[in-house]
Amino acid sequence: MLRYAVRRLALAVPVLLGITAITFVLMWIIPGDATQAFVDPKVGTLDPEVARAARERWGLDAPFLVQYGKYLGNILRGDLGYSHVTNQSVRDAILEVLPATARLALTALVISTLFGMSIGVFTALRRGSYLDTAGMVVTLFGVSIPTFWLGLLLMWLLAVHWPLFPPTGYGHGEVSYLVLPAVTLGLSYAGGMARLTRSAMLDVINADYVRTARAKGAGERSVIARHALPNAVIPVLTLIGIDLGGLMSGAVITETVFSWPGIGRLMVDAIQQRNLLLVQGCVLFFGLIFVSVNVGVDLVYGLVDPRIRYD
Amino acid sequence: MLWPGGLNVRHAVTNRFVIWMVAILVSAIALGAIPANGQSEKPRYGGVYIRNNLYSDPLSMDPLFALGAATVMTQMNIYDGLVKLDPDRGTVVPDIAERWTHSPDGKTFTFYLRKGVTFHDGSEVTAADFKYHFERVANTANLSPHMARLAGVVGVKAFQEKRAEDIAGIKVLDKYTLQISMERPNILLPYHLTGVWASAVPRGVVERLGREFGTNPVGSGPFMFESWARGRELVLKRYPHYWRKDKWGNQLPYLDRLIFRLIRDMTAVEAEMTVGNVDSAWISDSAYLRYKNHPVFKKHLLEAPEFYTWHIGFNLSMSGVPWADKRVRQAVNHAIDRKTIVDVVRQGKAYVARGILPPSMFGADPTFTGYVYNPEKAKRLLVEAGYPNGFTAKILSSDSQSVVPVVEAILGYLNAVGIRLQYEVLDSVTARVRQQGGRFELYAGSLGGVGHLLIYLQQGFHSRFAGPGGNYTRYSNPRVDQLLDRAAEARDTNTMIRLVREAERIIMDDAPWSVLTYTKGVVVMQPYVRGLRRVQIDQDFQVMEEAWLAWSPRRR
Repeated sequence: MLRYAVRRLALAVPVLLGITAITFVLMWIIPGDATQAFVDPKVGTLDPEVARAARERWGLDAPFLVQYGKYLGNILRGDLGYSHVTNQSVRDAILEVLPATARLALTALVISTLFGMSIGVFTALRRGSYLDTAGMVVTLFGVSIPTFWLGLLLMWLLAVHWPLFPPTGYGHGEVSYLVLPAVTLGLSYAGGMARLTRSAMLDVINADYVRTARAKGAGERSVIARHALPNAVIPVLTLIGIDLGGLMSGAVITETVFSWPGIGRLMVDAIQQRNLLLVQGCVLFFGLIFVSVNVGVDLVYGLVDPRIRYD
Repeated sequence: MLWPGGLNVRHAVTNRFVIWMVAILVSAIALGAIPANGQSEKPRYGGVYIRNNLYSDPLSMDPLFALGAATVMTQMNIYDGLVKLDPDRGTVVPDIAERWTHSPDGKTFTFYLRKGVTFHDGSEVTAADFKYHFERVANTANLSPHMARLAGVVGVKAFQEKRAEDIAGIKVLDKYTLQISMERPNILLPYHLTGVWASAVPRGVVERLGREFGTNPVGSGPFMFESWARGRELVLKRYPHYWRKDKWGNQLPYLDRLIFRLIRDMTAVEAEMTVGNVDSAWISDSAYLRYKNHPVFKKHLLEAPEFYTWHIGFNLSMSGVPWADKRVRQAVNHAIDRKTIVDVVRQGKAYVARGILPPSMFGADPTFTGYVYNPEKAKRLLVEAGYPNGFTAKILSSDSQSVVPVVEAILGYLNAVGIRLQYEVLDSVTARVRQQGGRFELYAGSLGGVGHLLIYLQQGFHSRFAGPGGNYTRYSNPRVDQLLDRAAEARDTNTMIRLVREAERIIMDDAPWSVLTYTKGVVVMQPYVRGLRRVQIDQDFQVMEEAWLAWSPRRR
């Protein structure tokens, strides 16, 4: 298993290289280069002399391969880059938003998993009933409602109409600031989770081993918790892994609505400033997160289902 | 003698007198109860003031990088310069320099600094600090976006090309006197120095901190830096030894703390205003009418025409296109009903533009009438230009909500006279890059953000600025260039204004732009906020040193 994990992580290297190449090409194609950092967005003008000096200093006029090669060389030396204008290294910029990103992502994941799996199991056990239909309609709403709308609705209800939580911000890390963005994000992910859990449960609930368990006289709660659910959970685990990767890569809309200082906004701002190094840094981070989460999920499969072996 | 009915007349007079007295008394009480910007109340010290306006993170707290609203509005509370802009009139007024003079040939400016002005670390601000910082800005190694601002100062070129140790044209005559010599007469120098980039910085601290100065700033302004959490908030605290006093002789500033919060979503800003977590906020187009009709906030709006002119620009570097003919551009100008656009599309949150210069700008011609809405005349001009059936063209703009609905309305107006526009909506950076690079046929956008009428015209229409510098249309008229150059060298303000107005009339006739609207900047305040002022150039640049809170806000 350990060898499997190491091999999978080693495979991350070509994946990350590919990601840097694709990002470099995309940033090369979109109009405007790093000199846009010298433009006041409200005014829009760029002093040609400043632009010339910046291009010269940053080597922006060099051919694509030269620029990319230089970037790779720096990465191999562990240097993700430094923003001259914001006076911050790419590493520091990402590390600064990491705690807020992780807090929001993990809390939202817990909320979506708790809600999603509960509704999924509950409706699967009552298949065809009114409650099942109602549950599926609710989850359909969860999947379809735009995050910004849900966020603003919750903000209006729980921060303005009944002022229970602060409408926006991070405060000094108080939980009250986390509630609204985490619930918004969690609920928007819960719908998909509920529907997948329901279908996975329906697959296993009529399986022979479940019938055998019932025949042995096991109680319904034990049948569900010990026999059905562990087998139904494997596809759900995959979804949790994908969701975690997605959540850690930044929930731009939720971060924008609630002014949450996460990595999603950091990257969008970097794209708008054409800050190639910071965009690359964020994308590399996302790549690393996705690869690690997938390896983690694969390893958890082995723990949940002893039949799965990697050696 | 009793005059028949005399008693009645006397009674009538008495009654009218009493009514007038009561009316005056009631008005006086009412006026006293609703103080206009705190003029009739005694300022109260203390309190924490929270502003929302950070649309994005400030770049840096070092004035080398004073660029963009978020950076400038925060830095202007930490730093002071030689001179600054008067928020109401947009004219240059003293700051640390209590006065300045220029030589008869208009080339040499001498600034006389106040004595006893101190940095937040307690050291005194001297002329040498300004020279040091100006050389930091001009030094190409520092790559400041303002490095070209001092072009024209004697010795800058030699300094930038490393042929000189310092800028010869910036001389420290004594501890409190700074002299700047220009290669050519330039009336604009004091105006240029009003930028936050030209603030005083303490040499010792900058040299000790190096790059870290950008996150640990020390200035001489009303507020001292306390903390900055990127993506969240920036906190400043009162500098107790600030040099300025209010008109009653009280020490400024009044506030204990000033917090700039980064709230990105405008609906969320409304929520924060409603619950009282924010004390003042810039408001968006979509929120304007809600605040205008709000029972409380409608009395606490601060509206000002800002110095941004929204317009349609024609790409004049293209040949063989219909708009290469001046009459076609004039036709577009006549085809658009600006008043309806302001009233209906912008719902009153803009002003009808008649000329390029907003009439509230110092020196602008308030009688300028511009182009009137006359679709018949537009059609006639198109026929004269040889386009009786109109033509098809492409227009681009950013996806800003201030411009998209306006362009959509314009598509209809132009279609009515036969001009069929294909509309390309782009993200703001791509639209800006396309404008800068001249990759457009027509664009809709704004230009401005400067308070001086000459610079306003220079950046948009002088051929020297053709390209990304602001003259996106690549407009070139030697007569206009000459007038603007002469205005820059004019010895007196009246001559400068006369030359600029003449240039504006020629430009309006040439019509490289079809002017549309001027921005209306609106700030909403909590009822207890006092001391904010209308800032013509841009309402974001509020002078917070005179702001105070009439009572302590309840936050949630």
